[in-house]
Amino acid sequence: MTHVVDKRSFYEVKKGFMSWIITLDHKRIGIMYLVSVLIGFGLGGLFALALRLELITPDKLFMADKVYNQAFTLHGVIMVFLFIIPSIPAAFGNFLLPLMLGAKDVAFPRLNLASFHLFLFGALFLVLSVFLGAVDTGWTFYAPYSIYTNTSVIAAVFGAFIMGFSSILTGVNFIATIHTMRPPGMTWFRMPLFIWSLYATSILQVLATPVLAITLLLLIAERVMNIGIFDPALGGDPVLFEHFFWFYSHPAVYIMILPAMGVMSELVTTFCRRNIFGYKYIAYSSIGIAVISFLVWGHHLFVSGQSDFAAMIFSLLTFLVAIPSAIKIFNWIATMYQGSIDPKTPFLYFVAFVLLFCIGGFTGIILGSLSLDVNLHDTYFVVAHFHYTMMGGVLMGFLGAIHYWWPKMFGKMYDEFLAKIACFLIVIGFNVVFFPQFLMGAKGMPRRYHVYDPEFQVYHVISTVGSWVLAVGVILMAYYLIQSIRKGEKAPSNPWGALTLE
Amino acid sequence: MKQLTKDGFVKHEVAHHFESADQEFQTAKLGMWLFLGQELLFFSALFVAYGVFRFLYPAMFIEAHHHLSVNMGFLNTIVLLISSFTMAMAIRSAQVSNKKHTFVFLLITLVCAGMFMVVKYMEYAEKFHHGLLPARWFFGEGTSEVLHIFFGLYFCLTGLHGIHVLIGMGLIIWLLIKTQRGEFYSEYYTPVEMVGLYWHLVDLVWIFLFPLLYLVG
Amino acid sequence: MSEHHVVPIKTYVKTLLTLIFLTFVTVKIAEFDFGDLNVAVALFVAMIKASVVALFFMGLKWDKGFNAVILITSVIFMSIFFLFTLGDIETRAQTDKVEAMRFGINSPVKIIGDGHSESRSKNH
Ligand SMILES: [Cu+2]
Repeated sequence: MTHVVDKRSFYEVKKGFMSWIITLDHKRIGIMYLVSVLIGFGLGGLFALALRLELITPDKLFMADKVYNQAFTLHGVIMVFLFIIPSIPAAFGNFLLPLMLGAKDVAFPRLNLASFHLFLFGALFLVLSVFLGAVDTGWTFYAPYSIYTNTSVIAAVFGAFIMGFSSILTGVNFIATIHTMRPPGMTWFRMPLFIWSLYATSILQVLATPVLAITLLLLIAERVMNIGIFDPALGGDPVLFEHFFWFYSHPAVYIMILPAMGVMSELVTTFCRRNIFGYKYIAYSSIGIAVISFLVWGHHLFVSGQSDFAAMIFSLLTFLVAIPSAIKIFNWIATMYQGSIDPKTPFLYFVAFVLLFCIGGFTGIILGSLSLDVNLHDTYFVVAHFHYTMMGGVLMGFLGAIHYWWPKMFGKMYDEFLAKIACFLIVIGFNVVFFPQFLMGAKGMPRRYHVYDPEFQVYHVISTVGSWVLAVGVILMAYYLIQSIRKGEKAPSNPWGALTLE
Repeated sequence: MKQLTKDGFVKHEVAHHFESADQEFQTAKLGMWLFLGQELLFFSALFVAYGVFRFLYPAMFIEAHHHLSVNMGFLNTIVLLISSFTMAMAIRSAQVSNKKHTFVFLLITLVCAGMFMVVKYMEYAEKFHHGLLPARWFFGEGTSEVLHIFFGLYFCLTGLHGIHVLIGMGLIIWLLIKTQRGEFYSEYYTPVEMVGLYWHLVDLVWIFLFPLLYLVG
Repeated sequence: MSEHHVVPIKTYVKTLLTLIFLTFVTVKIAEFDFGDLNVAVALFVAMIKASVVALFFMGLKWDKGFNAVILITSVIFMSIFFLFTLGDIETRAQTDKVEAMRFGINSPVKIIGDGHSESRSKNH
């Protein structure tokens, strides 16, 4: 438990913009990622608020059809590529991985900086694409529409391609670090569970992301020279694009959620003052999730024209993911049993995570069953489902991580009372936004529609009001976090009495 | 000021966050292998697309592969195999601190890579001439209406592979400069080893491309 | 670092000769018609060649085991990608047939273009 590095030193050794942008220090790179993903979150959030506001009436309020399509595409692309994927692994992973292992840095510091620069460069292309005529394909870029739309698909796709490489290189770096940089005594089964989850995430990043890269490249090739493999008019198969895309994008869902699960394992041990129940099972379940996640991508293609046989196999395999996920949930709850629980803000986010992720997970099983999915596909039920996993899961994990490691990263304490209020506002607001979406989805409200049947208006109104509550919670959080940097009290070295090395 | 070893090589300093040169070497190698794994998956989608369209249009594939020159493909396969051999020999020479041999073997590898690209250029020129191109520019003649799909795939596969060869050539030039400066010797030859692994992967991909595109009828 | 395995030149020469020999085999074998197995046979020879390159030129034979694990894992996941996607494509004609027969649906999402009917007419 001895960690000799003065924890604020890395802010003070050097000053100025250049000292940050060309730094090789994993902590500074982590902080820069954190700032970037927070900007991404803010941007994506603004689009979400605009979309919700537009949907408050069944007819057009202030967005034209095409603008609406562009807005939900940008909301998706920004949230997925600029926020969720890099959020926990790149920001907290970079900052914490070497500290938790007891290593001096990640294995390849220069590669690490290069990944960050690639990330910025990719983000630049995304921003550029907005000004060149924002994409209106949805974040999935489905062919053949993406081949023919006259919006700036190439710029956006190229941005995602570059950010994919940033993600791959981060994965390479983390796996190499975990394998070779562990000091003697830090055996595989003494590593904090957060590191296990990062390890599983990195496997996915290295093995799945390249397929996204080549898919996007092929889409560009299709637009530039009509190679014909995705274009039915040329004898190609648009469903093949969906296969390629989801071979990456289903595992990507676990690139997003696994690190959040790792954070939860740390939170529950610290705030219940107990050792984790079933350490090895949680560790293995991370790897299990990573492996199974490669076998289920076809559940996104149930109504796309995939063969019945393939759909059946994919549906069956999809249920398997529930097992390792459930193992984690059971073990966390068993850890809480008879623990002396200290309900600080990060722990509240843990509770929110378990609750919301369970709802997200169970509705996932509903969507994974073939017959139900045929009815629910592309309705708001799906929208609500993945927001419960992505937002209820990943965002809660991310916010839990911010509150938990804030004192470590910035050396200041935040206002605990305001933090609790913000937490309640966010969780309640979130449920008000998305729970009605389950209901209207089950009743048949299709997703991505700009104009809808007035029958659904009441749900949309509730949902929109919820988005305002959520926004107030996030703004309050931003307020007290900024306040804490400006004049918060100095944080003790181990404010929560945690047992890990950092 | 850089230190020199007693044989006149530039002494390698182990980066601050590693305990030993061996740890540094093994880490770099592991990282490189992970990168190669990534490369395999990167190419895999193209092979899947190949499999899918071969299944859907078997007759078209048989027709299309007659438009490719087996001799050229064969020549390029041999050239790449030889370059892989010289690359392995360059690494070995660096391992035994033989600066001159390292340089010569790297140079032969570079020449082989150049030859590969020249042959590729000739093949491409022929395809352009006959209009055997992706659909946008396709004006070739054939009985199948979807012949352009084969050439779409052909240009994606060989083009992407060709880009890898070009990148490899750049890396080998970088190695040549460093070798000339005397930076590689028995205690430190990590970059040679890394580029070598990359180069062998480029060879590996071609080993599959050659029979799949040129031969299977 | 001195303990690194230095491979004898002879091994590399033999490897190169084996690979050139196998390239001839690849070309010769393509002249025979194995029917549906053509691709499988070609892939089999290519696999052998690839293993030779990986084992000797890339030095996996003398290397840390984990590097081989990475290679094998990548190949496994490539195969998963390949098998599942092909599994869908190969069984799709069946689905289209059932839909047309039982419900009179001519699915608008199936592959159009002459090639598709070409492969179908071959099957029936
Ligand atoms: Cu999925």
